[in-house]
Amino acid sequence: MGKEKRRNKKLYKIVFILIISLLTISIIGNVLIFVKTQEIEHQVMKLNRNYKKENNDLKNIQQEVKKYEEEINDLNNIDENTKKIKEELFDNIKTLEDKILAGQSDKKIVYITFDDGPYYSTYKVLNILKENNVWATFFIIGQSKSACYDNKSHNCYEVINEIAKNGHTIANHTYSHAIFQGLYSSKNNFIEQVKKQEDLIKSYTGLTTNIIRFPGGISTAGRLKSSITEELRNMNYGWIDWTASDGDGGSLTGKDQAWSNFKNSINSNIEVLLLHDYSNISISILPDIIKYLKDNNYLILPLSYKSNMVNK
Amino acid sequence: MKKKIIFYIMIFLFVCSSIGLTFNILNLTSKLNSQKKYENNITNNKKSKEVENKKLEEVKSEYEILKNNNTNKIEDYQAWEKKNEEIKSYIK
Repeated sequence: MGKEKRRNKKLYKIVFILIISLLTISIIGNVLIFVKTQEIEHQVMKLNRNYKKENNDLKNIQQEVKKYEEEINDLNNIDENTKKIKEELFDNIKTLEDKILAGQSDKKIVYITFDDGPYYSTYKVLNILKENNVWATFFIIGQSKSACYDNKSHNCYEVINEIAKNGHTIANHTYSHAIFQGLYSSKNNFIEQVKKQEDLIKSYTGLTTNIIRFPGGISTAGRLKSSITEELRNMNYGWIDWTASDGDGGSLTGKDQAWSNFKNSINSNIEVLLLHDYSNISISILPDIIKYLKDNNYLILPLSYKSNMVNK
Repeated sequence: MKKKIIFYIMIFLFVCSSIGLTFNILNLTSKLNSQKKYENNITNNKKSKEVENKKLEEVKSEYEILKNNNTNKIEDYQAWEKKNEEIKSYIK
């Protein structure tokens, strides 16, 4: 009995020591793993920060790539975008005209127009317009322009392209302008001249115009006025005369007379100013004309079919 | 009797400690997995960054070429845009 008791006591002791040992090992294991876990967690946090930074960098680069791709797309479509912004501008000009005509705006608009070109002297006009940062409208003709009247060695058809490249409005003034050689002899003859000039403009600039000014003005069409304008309307054309001029289409005695004519003719809130790009007098006073118009609150704008001044 | 109580307390502590150990091991495994995941992501990001940087250089140079070839057209567009903004300000 005593022997068995001693054996149980010994067994109990062994089991007890074993449990103590396992408990100790388990506690040490827990501590070690806890410490390691903390260390790993610290590293994970560091990695997380790095990952976020790398991710941000990547996103920034991707955004920059996207930005450049959009810019490239815009540049590839720059002609189309310019066309769109011009159309938007012409819509807005029409809205401004409506406001001016309704007396809701104190702004004033002038359309500077040049008839009968191109000439070699048109280059001077283009330079003045560029220096003053304004756009104008050129009603051009096509007959006998292979050599400029004022510089026979220069092909004046090249000037047409230069006008277009500078962003000015190019409009139709018939191919021949031959008022005294039968331009107004019949509706068909006139319309033929319009179409011929339309084709010429398109071949040199790629542009299609649908604004016309009658050589000599609408009244020169006489009895054909209504039939021609009806036909033009069918062709989706609009026509325009002028409301102001310096008289350079007639005989001028000098700059003073031209200046006086010009100033006296400017009195409406929307003006269409007629000049000729062959007139040295008009070219010489053009910078002053532009300054005068700007000083008198006029916006100098290029003409479009949408304008109220274009008769449809 | 006293020895028996101590024995059971020891057993209880051992069980508790074992459970704690299991949780700690699971936690450690999870942290190690996270660490590996982040390391992989960072490596992938670095590779993507290299690719995107190369792409950026390409688009930048394409943009510069296009920009230089279209200087006049860009100026024209900007001039029309400026005029349009000016007219818009008058019709508000």
